Amino acid sequence: MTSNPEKFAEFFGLLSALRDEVITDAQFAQLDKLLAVNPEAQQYYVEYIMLCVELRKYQALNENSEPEAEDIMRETLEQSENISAQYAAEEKQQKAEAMRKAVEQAAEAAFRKFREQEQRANQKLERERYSYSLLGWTFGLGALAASLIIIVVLGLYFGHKPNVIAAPQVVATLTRTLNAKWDDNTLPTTTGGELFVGEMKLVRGYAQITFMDGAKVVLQAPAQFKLETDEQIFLQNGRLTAKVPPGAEGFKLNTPNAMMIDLGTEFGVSVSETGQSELHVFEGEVKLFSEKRTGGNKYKQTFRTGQAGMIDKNGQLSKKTYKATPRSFVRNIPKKMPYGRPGERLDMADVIGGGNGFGTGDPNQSINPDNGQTRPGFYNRDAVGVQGSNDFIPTADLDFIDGVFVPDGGDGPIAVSSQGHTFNNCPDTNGKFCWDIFNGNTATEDRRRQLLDGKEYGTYSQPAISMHSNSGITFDLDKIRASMPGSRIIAFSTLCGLTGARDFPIADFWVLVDGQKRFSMTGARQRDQARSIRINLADHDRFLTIAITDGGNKPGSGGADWGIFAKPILILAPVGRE
Amino acid sequence: MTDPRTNKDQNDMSRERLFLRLYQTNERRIYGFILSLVPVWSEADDLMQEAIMVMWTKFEEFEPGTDFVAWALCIARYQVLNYRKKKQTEKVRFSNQTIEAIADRVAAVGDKRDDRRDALRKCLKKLKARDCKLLQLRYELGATTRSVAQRVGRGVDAVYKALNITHIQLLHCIRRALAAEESS
Repeated sequence: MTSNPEKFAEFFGLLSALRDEVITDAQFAQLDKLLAVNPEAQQYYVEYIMLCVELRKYQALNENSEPEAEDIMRETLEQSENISAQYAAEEKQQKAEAMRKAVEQAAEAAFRKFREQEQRANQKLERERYSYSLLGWTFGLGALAASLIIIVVLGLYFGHKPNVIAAPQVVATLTRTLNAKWDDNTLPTTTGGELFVGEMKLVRGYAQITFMDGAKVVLQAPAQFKLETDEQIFLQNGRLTAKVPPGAEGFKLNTPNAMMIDLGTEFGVSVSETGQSELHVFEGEVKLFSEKRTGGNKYKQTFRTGQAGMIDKNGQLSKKTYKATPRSFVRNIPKKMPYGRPGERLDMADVIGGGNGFGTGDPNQSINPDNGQTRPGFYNRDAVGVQGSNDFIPTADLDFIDGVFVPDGGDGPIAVSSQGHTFNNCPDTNGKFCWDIFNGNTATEDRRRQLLDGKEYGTYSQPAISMHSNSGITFDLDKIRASMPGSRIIAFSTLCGLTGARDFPIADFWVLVDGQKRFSMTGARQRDQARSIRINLADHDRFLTIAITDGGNKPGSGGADWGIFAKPILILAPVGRE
Repeated sequence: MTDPRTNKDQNDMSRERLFLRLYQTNERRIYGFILSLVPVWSEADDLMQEAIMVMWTKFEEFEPGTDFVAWALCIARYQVLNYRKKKQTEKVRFSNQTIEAIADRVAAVGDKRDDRRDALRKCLKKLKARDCKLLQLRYELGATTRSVAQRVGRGVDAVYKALNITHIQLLHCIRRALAAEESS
């Protein structure tokens, strides 16, 4: 091959395409053919792959903020220790286990039968009262069919073949995970492993479960759920996205107060700690049944593409149909770990992009601090500055953000939340702003706008919120809490400072909680070291505000106040742990 | 003074340390082995994660003093074969003949891993700063050739080509460095 330069170039072309994951099937077949027989090609191929691996590791060493290799190892070890312990226990108790499962299944079936009989009796009663209720009919017929099947199954267990013990029923496969950690007391979990009927609790990360009937469910930690059958899941609390391919229609998702039947679609469901459920249909149709616990009213409604509904803890369906917010759900497990990690830390830069803090947002979105509107990309309002209104402006499209403002304390306290919290010692500024609040890369003209202490921010692995004075933004922590049942917010942490190439800019950085100052850095300059801050948050703290003001030297008359809040995160902990 | 930990705990601790050390020293080689057989980064990542779990599960069976890499590669190979069985319908999948040939080849290349790493370090220094930066950006977590192109303000094709050339340059540079060392 070396003697034939043309062939050589072609071979390296194939390797390049493979490395960049743009290789076509035909090219791959060609590469395979070559590698099967040509020792020289094999040698080059292996060296090339080893080079790629080294380069990736080499790069990883430079990213010192990523968790140390050892930490990752320890996490993995913890996980695998659980698994190996579970394996051992399983091997020893396989027979006992199978017996227990069979008994449990039979008990469950008996319970189901009891429940359905009861339901049937109720419905019969209801049918007599409202003989034209279509809903009653649907339930009645379904229950009748189900109880017939159960009678047959019970007959098998206890009647004719009392000695046959059923193997646990495989209902799904754990098809993918990322940074996942499971509660020790739930089902064994290895990626690629089979899953049985039973309860599971995802404590950290993401998991994808594929049901035997083909429906795929992506879960984001924390989530507590039960696999009920090969086409049915019960979500106790947490958030998930379900994708139901053609042929798997009829997939059922139960929550404590509702049942959803999928008619071929993709949809998201969340259940809060208090039992409130939300259904968001991204595509297709979902039929929802809910039951008001206190009264006798049943609700049935079909939701279509782009629609969302809410069911309160009593099973009462909201009258209003909402707009679905697909960005607040993780729809696919990301290929690489986003900076925000479910159950561990929530990335506020992702929130600026309309995301849920775990990488679902637009990574390149800005918010105008004077009208709250978003737009893709970074936006230069005006080099000499635009006069702001000095009002607090609620943001309509961004659920986790309460609002924005252009701070100027010249006329006294300014509003920093929709609930009337004020920033009492806001400095007197010229009340102007130049640039929008942005979560992407601001290095459109000047690379150094992204550098803080020589490190680059505003990237996938090192996210940041860029803010130019004068601007401020308030996050609604209660809305964020509601989106992640099972997690608490315990602190806000970030690294802030001035970036850019010039030395004259001066700016002030502020962090407020419910209007109270919790951090300030006044008179900051580019040459100063960035400040790393951590602000502890209590469960009752509702509004977190970050702001930057002009430090008295007025932007627009030579400001260039390139402020950055790098790696802005909410630190999370499981509910019930400090 | 009595140690609050039991002997078993201590054994487990040192066992874990031993595993960590052996694993960390040989991580790249094991990963390279997997990636060369399943040349899709994300799939290789998942397989690596699975392989290391199996290694730890079976680590009791490993006899200290014997060849850890051979043992680890044996497990990784089994993981890969298992994975291939499941993914039989996928097109980006080597034939059995290629798999056999490559698996044997990796073992030989891996022998000189420290020399290779030193050589790479020297070769990186010889690159133009611009090309080095491209590599650094491209291997950043989550980056794609497109995202790199956007960041440096060049076309995707141009960046792709530049990266291809840089890889080949490095490959040859490492080869030359190793050959020179052998003859010296």
